[in-house]
Amino acid sequence: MLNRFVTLPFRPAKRPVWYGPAGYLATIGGLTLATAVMHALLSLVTIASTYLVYLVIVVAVSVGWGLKQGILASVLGFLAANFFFTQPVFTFTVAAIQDVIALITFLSLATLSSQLVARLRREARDARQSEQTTATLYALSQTLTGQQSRPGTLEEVAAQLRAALNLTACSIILTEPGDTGTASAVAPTLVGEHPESNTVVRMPLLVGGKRYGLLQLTLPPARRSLTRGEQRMVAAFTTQLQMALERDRLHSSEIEAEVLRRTDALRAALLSAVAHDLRTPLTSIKSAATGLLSTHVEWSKSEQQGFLKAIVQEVDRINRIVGNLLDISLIEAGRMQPHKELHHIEDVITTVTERLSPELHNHPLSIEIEANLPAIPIDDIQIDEVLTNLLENAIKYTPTATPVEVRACRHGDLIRIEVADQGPGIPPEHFSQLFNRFYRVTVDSAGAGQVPRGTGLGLAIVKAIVEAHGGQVGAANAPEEGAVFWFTLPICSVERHEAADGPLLSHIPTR
Amino acid sequence: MTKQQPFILFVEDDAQLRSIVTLNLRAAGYMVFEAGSFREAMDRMAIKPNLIVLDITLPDATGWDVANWLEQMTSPVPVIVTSGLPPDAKNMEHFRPKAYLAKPFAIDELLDLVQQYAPVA
Repeated sequence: MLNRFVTLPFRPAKRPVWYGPAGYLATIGGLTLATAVMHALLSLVTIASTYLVYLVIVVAVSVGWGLKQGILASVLGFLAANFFFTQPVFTFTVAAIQDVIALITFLSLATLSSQLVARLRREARDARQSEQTTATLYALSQTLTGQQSRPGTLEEVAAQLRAALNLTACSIILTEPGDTGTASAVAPTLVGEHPESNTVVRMPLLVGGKRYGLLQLTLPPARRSLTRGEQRMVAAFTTQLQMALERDRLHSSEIEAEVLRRTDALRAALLSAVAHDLRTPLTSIKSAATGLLSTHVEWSKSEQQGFLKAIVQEVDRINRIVGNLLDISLIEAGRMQPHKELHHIEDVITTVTERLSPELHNHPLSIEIEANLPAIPIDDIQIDEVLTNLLENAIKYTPTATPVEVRACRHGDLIRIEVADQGPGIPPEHFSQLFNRFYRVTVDSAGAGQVPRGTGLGLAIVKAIVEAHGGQVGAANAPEEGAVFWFTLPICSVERHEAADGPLLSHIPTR
Repeated sequence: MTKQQPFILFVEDDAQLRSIVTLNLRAAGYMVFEAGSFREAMDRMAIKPNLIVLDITLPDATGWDVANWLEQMTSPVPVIVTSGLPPDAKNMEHFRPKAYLAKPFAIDELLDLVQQYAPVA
């Protein structure tokens, strides 16, 4: 989102206060000097040349300061020419009629020149100003359109506008409509100098026909209003700003809608997956229990034991699914923190494989653990979950009777654990998203297209737990058949170690 | 009516559930072949079953793929579909299984249906 409101501190105007008076002083000084010099050289100068010298001064003053100074120079020059150089000298009376004509011609010419020069000056200034305005508006529009909702964008445009107009402050105050439709206004607090006597210009910002905020310009102390050029610029800028705000508003509501859509889709997918995953063990429990209750069949003692065992195991399985759901809520709340103690990874592997032995019944299991692995600081319950999830995946995604292998070995300062299967492997397009929450590998199916399986939570939990332990996770396909899921755990928890990038076993390519 | 035990193909990817149901079906007098995947189901079809009990979610395909494949056979085998989720109406319409059994089911419910479509002599 664009920032709420922006205020910038005072910066003085370019022209100093003595600029105008200095012009008048220069006019008087220049004329006095020229008159003194010409009077000293009275024998050398003609009356015509004095007019020319004064005319030069009039033009110079007009160029340097403007019309008022130019007119002053014209009048003073006319009087000086009359008083000092026209017969009879040292009086304001003029004897000859041609001198009267010459003096009036001089005054007209001087006045006209100063007006002409002043107009040229003004036009040059206007051209400069409009060029500056164009440049400023261009820069502002670049800032507004170039970046999509970048924080600080509004500060930038406010700074640009303030600098362009030499304002004491420039504030963009946004009053976003709330859910109930009432707008909450935010009062600006001006940073730096802010005399209360300053004139403040306010422009409403309208977005989608509604008042969205306010553009507030605090003029410098000496100024009471904006020039017409400045007003045009502010109007153009306001339009730009409104468009940018509108675009920003549309963009964020679009994102919100998209997020909602996706969240809804994910929730629906998760619920249906959880429902399926819960109903399978529930069916086992119900079938086993109703089978035991059946009066038609005489079950042997060992068969009864088998059913009861199955019920217990399936209850555990349901409990694991519930645990996964709770884990995900912990991960989402950012509270997946391991309680580490020193454990041998071998013990965790043994616990998990023994507990999963019924599920592993149809998959020959081999365990390969490097001798003398040190005890490592882990949360054994969480690492148990990691291994359980990986083994359950191997069972779930591979055909009956294909072997599953668990390997653990030391790799520098890390212990690396791998679960390898000989199933169909992972389609390469899934690798990048495999550990993402809710992501499920789909199976190509001739009749029904892509069929997703599972809740898409298991590997996300695996990743979160392993990373909370300072380790890394990964997956690869074996060259012949099957997939390998691996994770690393640091041997010393105090130091953070970089995990190996690829699989340890050289015959497995990384993808 | 066959004098020998009816032959049932039970296609279900969950090993635990498969073994529990199979034990019950066998105790009720059926000959049961189990399959955990589409591929296994195809392998087991060398002997034509009297009835197929089909789970919709399989690791390598859906039960509908199996049904699709069965449809191509000369004399269709009756199918009972089971699923943990409501079945896809379009597929139900197309394949017209004999029955749909929602999970979690009691074993008697399954046995009653099986008895109806493949009675033990």
